[in-house]
Amino acid sequence: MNLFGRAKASRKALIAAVALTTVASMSIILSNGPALAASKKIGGSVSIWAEWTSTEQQDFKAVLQPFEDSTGITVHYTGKGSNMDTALDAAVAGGSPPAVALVPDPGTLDTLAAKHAIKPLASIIGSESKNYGTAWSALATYKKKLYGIWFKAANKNTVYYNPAVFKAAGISSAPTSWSQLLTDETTIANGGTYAPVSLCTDIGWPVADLFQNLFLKLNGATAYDQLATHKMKWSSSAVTNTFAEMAQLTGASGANLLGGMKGALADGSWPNCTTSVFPASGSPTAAMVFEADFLTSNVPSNYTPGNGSSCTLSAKASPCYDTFNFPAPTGSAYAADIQGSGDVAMLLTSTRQSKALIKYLASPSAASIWANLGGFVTPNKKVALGSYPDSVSKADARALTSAKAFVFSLDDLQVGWEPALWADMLNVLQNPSASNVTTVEALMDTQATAALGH
Amino acid sequence: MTSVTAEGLKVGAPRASRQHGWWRRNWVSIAFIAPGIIWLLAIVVYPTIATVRFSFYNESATKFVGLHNFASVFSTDTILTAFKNNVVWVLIFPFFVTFIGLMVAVLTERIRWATAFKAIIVMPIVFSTTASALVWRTIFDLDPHVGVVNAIEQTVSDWFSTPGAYPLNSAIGQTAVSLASFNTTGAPGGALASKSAVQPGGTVMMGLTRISSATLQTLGAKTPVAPQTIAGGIAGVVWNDFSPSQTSNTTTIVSDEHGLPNLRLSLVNSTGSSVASTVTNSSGDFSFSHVAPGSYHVEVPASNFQTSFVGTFWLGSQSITPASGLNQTAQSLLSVPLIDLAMIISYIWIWAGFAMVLIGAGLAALNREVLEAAEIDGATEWQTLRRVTIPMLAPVLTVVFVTMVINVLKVFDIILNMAPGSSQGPATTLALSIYNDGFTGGIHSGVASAIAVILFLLVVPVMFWNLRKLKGGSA
Amino acid sequence: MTIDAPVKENRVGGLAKRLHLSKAVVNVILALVAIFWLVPTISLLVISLRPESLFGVSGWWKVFTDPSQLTFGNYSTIFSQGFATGGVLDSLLTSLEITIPATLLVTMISCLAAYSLVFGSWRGRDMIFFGIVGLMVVPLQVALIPVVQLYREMGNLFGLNPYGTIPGVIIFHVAFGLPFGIFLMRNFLTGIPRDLLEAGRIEGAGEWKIFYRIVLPLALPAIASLAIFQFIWVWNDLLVALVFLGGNVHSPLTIFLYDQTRSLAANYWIVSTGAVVSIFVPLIVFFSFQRYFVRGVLAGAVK
Repeated sequence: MNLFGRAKASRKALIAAVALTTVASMSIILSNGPALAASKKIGGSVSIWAEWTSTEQQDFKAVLQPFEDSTGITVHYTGKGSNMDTALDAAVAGGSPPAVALVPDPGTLDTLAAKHAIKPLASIIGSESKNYGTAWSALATYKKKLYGIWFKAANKNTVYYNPAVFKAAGISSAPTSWSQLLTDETTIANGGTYAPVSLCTDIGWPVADLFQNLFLKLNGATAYDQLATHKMKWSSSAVTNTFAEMAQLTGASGANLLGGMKGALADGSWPNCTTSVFPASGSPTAAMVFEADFLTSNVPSNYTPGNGSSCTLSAKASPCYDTFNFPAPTGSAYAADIQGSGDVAMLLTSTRQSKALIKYLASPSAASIWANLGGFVTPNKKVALGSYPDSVSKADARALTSAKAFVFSLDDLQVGWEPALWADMLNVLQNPSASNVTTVEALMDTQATAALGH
Repeated sequence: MTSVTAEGLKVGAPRASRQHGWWRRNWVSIAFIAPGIIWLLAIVVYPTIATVRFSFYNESATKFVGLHNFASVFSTDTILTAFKNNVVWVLIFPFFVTFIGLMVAVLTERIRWATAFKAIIVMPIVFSTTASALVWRTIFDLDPHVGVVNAIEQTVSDWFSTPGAYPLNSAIGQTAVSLASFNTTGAPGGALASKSAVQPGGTVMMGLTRISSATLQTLGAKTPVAPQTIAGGIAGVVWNDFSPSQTSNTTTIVSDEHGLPNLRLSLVNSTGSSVASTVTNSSGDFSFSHVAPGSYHVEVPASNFQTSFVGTFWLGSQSITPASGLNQTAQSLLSVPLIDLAMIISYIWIWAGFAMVLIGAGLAALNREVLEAAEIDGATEWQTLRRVTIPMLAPVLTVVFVTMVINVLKVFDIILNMAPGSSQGPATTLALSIYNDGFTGGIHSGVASAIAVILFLLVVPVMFWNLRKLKGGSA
Repeated sequence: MTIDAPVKENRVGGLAKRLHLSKAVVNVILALVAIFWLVPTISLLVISLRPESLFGVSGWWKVFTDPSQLTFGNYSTIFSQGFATGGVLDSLLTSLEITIPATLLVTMISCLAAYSLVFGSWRGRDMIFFGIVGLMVVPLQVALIPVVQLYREMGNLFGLNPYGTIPGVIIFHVAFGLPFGIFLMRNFLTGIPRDLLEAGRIEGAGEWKIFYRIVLPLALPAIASLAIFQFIWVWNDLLVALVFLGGNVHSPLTIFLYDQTRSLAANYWIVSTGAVVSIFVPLIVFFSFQRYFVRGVLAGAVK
């Protein structure tokens, strides 16, 4: 899913530039931090690979700087972009892996652990392992041993909305239940001026994300995992129900969508779909947009996070953006289940330097630096919410650290038929009639079986 | 290169002794061609062979899988769609671009401003397809405030049906009934009517909803007031029953609500025929005076809600061939998305200049006497064109046609830049599939290589055709 | 055959009349075609000259009734950003950094190779030439994946991985420009009389000097055609740059535009302005060297 990988984060760059000064001062404070308590310099060097390039690479280097300064270890960072998996495979096979690597999926961790290519971390990081909730530790555990720490995460359960549009429609607070969300949609539509939803369609992945959110909130993480591995059929009633609820959300022939169904398909390219809710100039035309927390980097820089009373409709005055968690039905047990993605750090070669580095990455001080730069959330519970620069990322971090269950984006696990799944999602979106849903579900089962072998 | 200058070897000098031999005589020539040959071997020939090899290996090129990749090419719906689109392009584009090129080439011979005309037609070739695709994407845009084509369609459609003061948004499938709120219900013919019956001396209040505040602002809507009774008449108000401060209040007028001005109303008697009509004022008030005794309903005729035009989704994936009832594979093969046509039109705009230049050169080289003889024989221009010019131009036309077929087999940039996300899948082609399968989300060599090999096999005949012509020509 | 008799009867008056009429009709038809052909370019120009805030509010054609909408605001924004990474001008530079070396290399190597093919006396020249002509139609898609891997190998062996760098793009463009370049130059050089070369040899000039002093000046028209063709081809390329330069912070104009399309409604002002900047350079080249360009087009189709 590198579709949005190249999204220019000019806003983030700005924050980074401003925050670099903060980092410089922070590194002084951090040198006294617990992770770096060993004041004597170790020296030597260590290599680390991750996906991050450009802005994210700069941010991560800012994270590494205090570590290098205090330990005297030179860190060689390589940003592998979307080739991370391939490159790591080859490096492990060739016997020259980096000392530490951050990978974007738990599957790689399991594979490498099974090959004994990564080292158990419990004895190395010690008490730092307590920085993560059970959902996160479980995702980094293979055969009861902890092999990784989730340094960075993304929350896909977010819904972005323009507080001024909600207010113009007479809605004072964001919906907290699925039925409230549907009611609010009707209220906004009744207002006549704004479309309730600007739907991202693109080549289908945002629709898949929407489906996944809804499926998780309606059926929970266990069912979600079963569907992801195709132990549950696409033709099951859980999927059918989710499609039916999704049709409620879009309304008949897209009545709740900006520009109707045609408009959603024509203008729903990522991140074009975000601009009608958060236009750089003029007034918004839609109230909310569904996507993961990386959407923040597409909100123009004149928007401030929050939903205060000073938020204006006009982008020229003081516009705001805010998020709410994708709501579950009232009383649902799955309200705190979260869908998203993340980067897990693993130890491939065990040296004094690499052990020090992974321990540092597991510590709150490392994650706090990036949190402060913005565009970053970590499931590390010990990172004080105060480290995040704004209310939106604070809320995001709170949701992540308190997640009851965390599931990975289901479509990314559909190796071999992911684009087909996206096309199927677009198909159901356009024609949610019961007969078409049945047809498409049968097709999806065929495609999944062909690709996954069962 | 400078070392060669320093040596300044005399190749043409009288033959040196045998032992200096071939190398001595030819080394400068070999040095001259070596960079080209090495470059071609390394970056064209070797990779082509490697791709053929990859096409028989798995995605990470570590295991031989035989024809498996080719099998998945022909069984994957998304790739079949790409094949289908390539076929559509090949069937339509080369013919039309050659035909248009021929027409303009023939006609330009007859005008004085031929140079200027040719420059205009040729110009798009030098634009990047990326830039051209972006331009055409706006031309075909769904929004008539952006896209010229839909703006023209809108103008024409407005001639035939004038939108009402409160046009329904047919983009989201709005109907008049969906506007009904307080004391209002649907009436035959897409009209709305008051739910309650009213007698002379009574009042009617009708609440509608989903009226855009922009419309109300334009019409200068004011706060409505509850109607006062008129003796022997019927008074009432129609208002936008939506208050941001009291969203759940749908029964009474709230201070931040607005009346609906300029609404045409008619008074309908118990037999259903209209007895009077009026128009609401700026606060949504209306009245009918001197009404005969009886029971009436107030009707809001459908003309008030005459929909505004909704553009044609030229860049959409809706099929222009009837393929909706078929299964997925059959749909992949038989549907022709509308955007294919839009893109082919754009591509003709780009390439017609190429066809025109080539055909124009061919025309210039034609034997004038034959053409003139035909004209003197009294053949009409069309006949001359059809029976004399085209047959004589056949070799040039073939070259144009074949070049355009090859061009279209590789069509890529225009789809990537012109199709909105939702149409990227339905409009994909082989070249785009290679890019998407091979390069997005890490490098995968198997299926992408198999598609590349197929693409290569498709141009091999042209390769030999070129060579045969070349050999024939130089002999 | 059957049409001959009736037409012949009124040949004298009819033909003239018909020609006269059709001449007016032809002028009208071609004028309409010309307008149709100009609309996209004009629309692009006009959109780039209208303020951002009007996009999506009213059509660009409204400018004809309200010329006051025209402004250079978008351009001044772009130029005020200067050469900052990720800006239009940065991309303009990157495009030039790719296109100029790629054009020079193709032209140079093609001339040398063609000279060798035409005036060399080694055996197998024809075979090599036919081989090169065969390569002319090879779709470049066929080579992409192995070349990416080849670049990686170069990184492993020599520590210089051209993948993701401008030289990486240039190397690929040169390779796929060469078959046409060599073909075009060889066809042109065959027209140069060998006597001229012999005269040079008698005067004692070396092979390099003959190439440089005698053949190159004579080949200038063909070199111009090749250079222009190659320049425009590389300038307008998206695919090769996307594959070999995808992650680089400096991107050529085509990638810059492609990146912006994903948020078209928000960015159309910069898309249109960037597109105008991107077509400006080839347009100048085209209008300055139209003759050579057309010759290149003609040579491009194998005859």
